[in-house]
Amino acid sequence: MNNVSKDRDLDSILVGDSDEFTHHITENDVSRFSLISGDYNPLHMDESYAGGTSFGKRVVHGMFLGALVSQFVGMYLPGTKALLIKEMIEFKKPVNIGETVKVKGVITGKSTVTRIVEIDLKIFSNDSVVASGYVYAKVLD
Amino acid sequence: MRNLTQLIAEHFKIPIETISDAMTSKDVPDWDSFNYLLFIAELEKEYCITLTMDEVLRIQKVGDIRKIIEAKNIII
Repeated sequence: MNNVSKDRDLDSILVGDSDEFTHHITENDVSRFSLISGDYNPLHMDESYAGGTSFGKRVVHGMFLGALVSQFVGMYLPGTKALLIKEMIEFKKPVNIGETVKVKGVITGKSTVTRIVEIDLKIFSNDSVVASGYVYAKVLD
Repeated sequence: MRNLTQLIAEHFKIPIETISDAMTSKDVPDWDSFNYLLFIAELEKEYCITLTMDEVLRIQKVGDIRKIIEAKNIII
């Protein structure tokens, strides 16, 4: 990922537009997310504890995937002019360190008067949906 | 298609029986600025309409919303 956000004006965003990116989840991602969120739950952090659960190994924080949604909105679609107003995300399958996830969003609604776009989002790992949801984002002038 | 009262009840999380045309933003705790924008966006999508800025600014109470939608020949 580079640090330059795409810059879409409201007028250029149409219902049906989509974008996507992939992210390889590393040990460092989970460590840094624990530090930022303060969530050091052993299911995320302790290999021996996680190994004794039904998951068998450490599970990536669900809200790390939520953070990738933030990346999607702020960096890809709408990008520069985005202001995230509402995010709903449902976690469908556990994700483990070392997996590569794909975040894909599609514009499903656009309100010109409020400058709000609705984006349906799906996060895939190995072609399987691991999380899905939607966001509403305002596209600033 | 949901009727206007259902839409308001679900969006603002208030009992349907408390909604009347006289209800204003002051009567609805969740009617804040962002949530109002989301409501307008949802309203437009639900009824496949486009509101103007003038119409949005004119809305002071539920009855105003009803009048604006009905003026677009939408039966709610």
